[in-house]
Amino acid sequence: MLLGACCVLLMTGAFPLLGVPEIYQSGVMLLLGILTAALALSGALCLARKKISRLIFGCIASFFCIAGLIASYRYGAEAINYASIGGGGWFAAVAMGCYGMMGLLFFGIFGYLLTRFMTRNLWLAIAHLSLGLIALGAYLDFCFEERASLTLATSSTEPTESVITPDGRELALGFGVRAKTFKVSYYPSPYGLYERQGNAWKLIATLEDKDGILHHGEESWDSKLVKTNLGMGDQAYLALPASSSNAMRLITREPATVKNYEANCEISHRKGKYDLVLRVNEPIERQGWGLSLINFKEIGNQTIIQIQARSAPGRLIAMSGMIGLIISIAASCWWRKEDILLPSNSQS
Amino acid sequence: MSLITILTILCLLLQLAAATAALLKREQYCNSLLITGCLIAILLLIANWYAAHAPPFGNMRHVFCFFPLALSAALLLSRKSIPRSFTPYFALASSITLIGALCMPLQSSWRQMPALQSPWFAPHVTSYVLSYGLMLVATLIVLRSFALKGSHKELHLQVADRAVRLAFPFMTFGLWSGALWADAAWGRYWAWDIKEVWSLITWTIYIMYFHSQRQQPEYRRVLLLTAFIALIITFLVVNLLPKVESLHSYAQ
Repeated sequence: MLLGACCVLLMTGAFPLLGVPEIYQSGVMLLLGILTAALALSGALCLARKKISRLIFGCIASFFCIAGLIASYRYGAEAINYASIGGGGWFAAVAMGCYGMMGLLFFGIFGYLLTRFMTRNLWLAIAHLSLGLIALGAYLDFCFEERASLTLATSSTEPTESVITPDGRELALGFGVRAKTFKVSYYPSPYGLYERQGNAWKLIATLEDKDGILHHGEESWDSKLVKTNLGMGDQAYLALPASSSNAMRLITREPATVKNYEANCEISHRKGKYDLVLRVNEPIERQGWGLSLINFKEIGNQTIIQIQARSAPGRLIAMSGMIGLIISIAASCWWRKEDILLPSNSQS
Repeated sequence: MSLITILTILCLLLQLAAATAALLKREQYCNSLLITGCLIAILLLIANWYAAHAPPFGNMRHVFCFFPLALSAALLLSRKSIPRSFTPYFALASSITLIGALCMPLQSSWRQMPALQSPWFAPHVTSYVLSYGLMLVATLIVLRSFALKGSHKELHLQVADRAVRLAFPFMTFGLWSGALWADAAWGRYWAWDIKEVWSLITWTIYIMYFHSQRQQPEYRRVLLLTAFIALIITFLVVNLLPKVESLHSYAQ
């Protein structure tokens, strides 16, 4: 039960469509969730084997499971935040509890059905069917997919309601989308240590700013000394004259690397308007179109956001095939009686 | 010498010592050395993580350093299906990857680009490392089998087959979870990127191996080796060749 609750909590937190909290972004929590789920599944398979009474108990409890599943789909990791707020938010907290209960019980039912009805040959058949689904989905996408680039400017007040495909056709989205604001965060700028070798400057080390000091071996410099100089452009640098042990060197401040970015978009349609946040790795689906945040460019005071709009009728079929393939291949490879090894005296 | 390099060398020495102890049939020593090696590998992971400020899978050195830990997990997973007499192959595989790590430049800091900040990231890389590690073990066993005769030769192929069967679901997860991730990050699940294509080729050759169960053992051995060559191209060549343009080039 505890394992089931843990796995569901971990996986819910890592659910990508509902806004992923910082801690989950690396996927480590998803990995832990998968590992815990595997442990829960293994435990549940042992529990549910050939016991019909446990199946009945599992069916009664499935009511809680479904309630929890719906609530978690609706709230995701936010449920934990709602619980801390209190009031109406407690619905989500209770649902999370139910969802936690779901873990092992669901695996119990699933495990019972698996042990009773699934054979290795059936799993192999599912694997081949899954490959067929991937091929079918890919073929449908090859024939009917529409893909277009959508460029939104943050200064624009009018929503964009159509896209232009690469071959020049204009396609209606069926809704309007407008970028209201755009947020971008950067990693701290690194510093590059270059050495003059002949006529060229060669990067010999990348330095990090630690409490205002740049270290390289036994040498160190104050990072404030790396600055722009009058008449020398925008590049911040510090020239280190040649010495008996070193050729002429230069420390420059490298351009900052983008850490993450997101666009707050307004979606408008006949029934009204609402806001949603479009992030990298978290596409949105509206009226058959999938919108993915791909890139951005800052020009003056405004930001140009590049979004990919895609209508792919075979996408869900192909994805079901992929998930089916992952599960069925794992089952057919791992779920089999091992042949006796030859020669038998080599076993320990 | 940095702490990461010291830990890498220490882990390498322990793995080599464990392999030697196993070959000399000193099982107790081998187990102790493997456990110590695993603990050092955990420390190495923590040190890399601390230096990178992110899960340490940002460059080839990070990934190579993760192999001994993944292979320790694989050894645990395979304790029922693979006889203990094959433990040296795991230690040897870990040693090979650690030597690989030492050949790579030490780039401790790492800027994790936005597309990599995904929940798919760690499971995708971990499953691939686990599968590649086990496939390396299977290949070493098959290579050894060429020098053997009779039932021992057959035994080696059987054990290699078990290692492949243990690894293949992880490879499948890595490949198709990558497609699911690409769908979220790039808006398409397949981009015909060189790394994707070679991953699919590798996966397909292993599928061919599974479909060749009734073929001659020699044919299956050659097929396993061919699959491993494709795996090496997927894992190393695509990332290390400087002129190859790939959506996966951030893993260089």
